[in-house]
Amino acid sequence: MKRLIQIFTILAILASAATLSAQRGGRGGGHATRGSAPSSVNRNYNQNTNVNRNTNVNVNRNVNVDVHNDYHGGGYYGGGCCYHPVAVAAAVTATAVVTAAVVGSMVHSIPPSCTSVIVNGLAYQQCGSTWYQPQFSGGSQTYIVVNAPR
Amino acid sequence: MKLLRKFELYLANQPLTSDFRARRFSTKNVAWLVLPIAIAGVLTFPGHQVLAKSSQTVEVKDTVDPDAIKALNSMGTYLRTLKSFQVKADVTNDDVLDDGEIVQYTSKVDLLAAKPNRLRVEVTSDEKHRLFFYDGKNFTVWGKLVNYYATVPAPPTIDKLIEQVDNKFGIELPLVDLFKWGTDAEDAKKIKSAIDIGPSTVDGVTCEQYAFRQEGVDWQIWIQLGQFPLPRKFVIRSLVDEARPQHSDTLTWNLAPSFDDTAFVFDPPPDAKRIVLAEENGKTTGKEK
Repeated sequence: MKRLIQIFTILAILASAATLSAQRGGRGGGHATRGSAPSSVNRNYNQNTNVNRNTNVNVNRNVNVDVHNDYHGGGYYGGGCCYHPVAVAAAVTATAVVTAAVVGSMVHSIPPSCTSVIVNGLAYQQCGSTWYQPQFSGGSQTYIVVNAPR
Repeated sequence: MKLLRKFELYLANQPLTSDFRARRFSTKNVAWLVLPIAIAGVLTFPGHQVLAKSSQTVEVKDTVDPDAIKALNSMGTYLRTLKSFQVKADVTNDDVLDDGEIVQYTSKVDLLAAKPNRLRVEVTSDEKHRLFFYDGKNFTVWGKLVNYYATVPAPPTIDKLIEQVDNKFGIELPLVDLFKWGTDAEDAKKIKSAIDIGPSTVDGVTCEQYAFRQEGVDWQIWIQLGQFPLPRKFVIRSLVDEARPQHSDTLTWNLAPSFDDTAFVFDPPPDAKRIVLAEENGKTTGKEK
């Protein structure tokens, strides 16, 4: 049973990584983007980057079908896509795909009819009992689900 | 028959694999299928020449023209002498869709730099309008359309800032090569192939066009001829993704910009809301003390 949970967790992490990578560059009207052209010749285009990207693409293709519904809904415009896919994937909790309301999960859009609240000088969005903290994440503006800040 | 011989001659000049050539002799059908294309190839002489030229380049692998490297270094040295500048860029950037299809996006960049520690960058694209402010102490990102901003403490120089916002926050500032060229001799050593393409005009300015290859990218640069060896255009093609997405910047320079200190400090509009910057390690910074 424990093992089953472990497997599920890993799958969920993979799925959320795929969702994110798809979302990060998802400008083209909901089309998933796997990468973007580099804007600098002096970045490190080493093998590691290469491996990261490849992994990302594979993950995407394998699980995209399952997670599609989670990132449709629009409102997200990416860009500057995909340079740090692994780091981003690590930042996502395993349950992000199952429900968006788990603390620590990152989303690209929030439900309608949320209230903007300022706590200690920082902006939050309160949507019922769920609190979202807007953030700049790489080239994108995203939201992270947080505990009620007050 | 004469045509066929021409065709054979043509094929011999092409950079085909030996495997393909072997099949050509064994399967006549294939040859007849390709024949019309071959004739077209023979008739279109200029195109044929380019093909031959490129095949030569493949044979003489890793040719580094020292003059091309020298031009790159001269440009870098010159860029290092500029104390302040404003540069506007017309940018095209390819995204690769999941199935490998390429989609091009355009944006505009307006960058004002006062070295060593002040920078203001405005990026305008179809769906985003971002401004970046750096005054030597703080770094601010302002999403003008969403009207959110985030401010974090910043390192003491533009060079360090570029590195930090990339590594720590995953924010890739535009035109960073303008600050990197000429700073590290190692960069030139990464170049495996360097070709001088010849004179080329960018926005009415005569430049020399060069093409380079290094790990992961093929890139080209148009350097202004004469006393001011400025990059007027550069094009970068990724080789990491098999779809080979391309990025291009066409630059307009102002070497005597007028500005004051307030240009580099973000003064939030009353309705702008402060948010945090997500770190690559999953943390966030930019919170109020």
